[in-house]
Amino acid sequence: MALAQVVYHISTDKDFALQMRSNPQVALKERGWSLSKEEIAFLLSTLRSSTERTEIRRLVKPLLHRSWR
Amino acid sequence: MTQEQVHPFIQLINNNWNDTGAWPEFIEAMRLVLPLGKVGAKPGKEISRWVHLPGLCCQAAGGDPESTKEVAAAWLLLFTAAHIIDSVEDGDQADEVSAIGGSGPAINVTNGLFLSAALMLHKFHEKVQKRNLASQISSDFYNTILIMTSGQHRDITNQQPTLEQWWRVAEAKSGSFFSLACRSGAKIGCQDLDKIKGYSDFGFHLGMMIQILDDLEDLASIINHEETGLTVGFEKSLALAYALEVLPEADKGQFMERSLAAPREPDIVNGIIDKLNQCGAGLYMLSESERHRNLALRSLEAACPSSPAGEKLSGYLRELSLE
Repeated sequence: MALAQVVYHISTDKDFALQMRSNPQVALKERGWSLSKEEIAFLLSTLRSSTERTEIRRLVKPLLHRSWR
Repeated sequence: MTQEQVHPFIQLINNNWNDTGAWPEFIEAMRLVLPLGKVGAKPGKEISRWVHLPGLCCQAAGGDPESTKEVAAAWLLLFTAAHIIDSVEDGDQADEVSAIGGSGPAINVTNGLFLSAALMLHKFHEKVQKRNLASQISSDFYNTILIMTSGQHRDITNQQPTLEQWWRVAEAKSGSFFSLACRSGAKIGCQDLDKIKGYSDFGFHLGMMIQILDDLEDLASIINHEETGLTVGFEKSLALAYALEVLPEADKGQFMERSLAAPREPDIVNGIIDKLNQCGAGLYMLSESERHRNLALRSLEAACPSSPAGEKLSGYLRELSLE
């Protein structure tokens, strides 16, 4: 459940989010967490973009117009 | 093809039913819950695109997709049965359940669909020369149904899953089922165990992406106030399981009290969604969806470097992406 913990701390701890931006490997190692390269790259891309991108209302909006069944 | 032509998969299922002694009204009820499958029908009534997974994986693995049609039809019957029984057990008011007279007839129709899938696998067994392959695939289907049913049992008996439990149930109910579709097709198309594992893993991660979308759909109903009061959908949602995993103990009680309050007025819903956003629930779901997309893509690339069928399979991942 490392990804859940990292996401929570990115979302609620500005210092951790800043450290993740500048040196993700060290930020994760200091807290004993490990993520894949792809996971780190994705989280960094969200840190660089608007917070709207990850808001639940934005995520569910396109679901009303498509079907995956 | 004209508007009235029935999709070949539905035609195959119809033919199989006509060969049985089942009463016409029961066959009609089973037919009613299947995806309509008429060419040119409205998007919501099109045959599920996932019925093509066995054929595409077979083709990408170097085989003839035509040889997977009975297996694909069996999978479609199970897909429909799982959808109906899930709706009944969760107490959802699905159109298909209402159309056949409610939960009692729906359970009976589900039994019919399960057995129709078994009959379809029997047809495959009769058709292929490699009897060992047919036995392996039938056995794989029955094992997977048991895994799915185990996941469903856990889902309906556990009112509030932890994050770890949410993922185990999603793997059993959706990951294993989509993995079965892809693995069966690949097994018919080739004998290379590494390739078969690649398609199987691709299907697993595709199924996990679908489960995340399905969970978000439940959340959308709550946000749009289509659901009122205390709903099972939210209690068992990935977003809530995540929040309860990561929130400090002091915040959990208060959040739970607010989340499970009934009736759920719009301002309460807005407060819950704001809290979920603050603790990163949206980012978490997006990250998990992307993680599974990457793993699916990697599995597919390892199994099938480049082919038109492989392109279609990777196209599904793009369509499901939340990005």
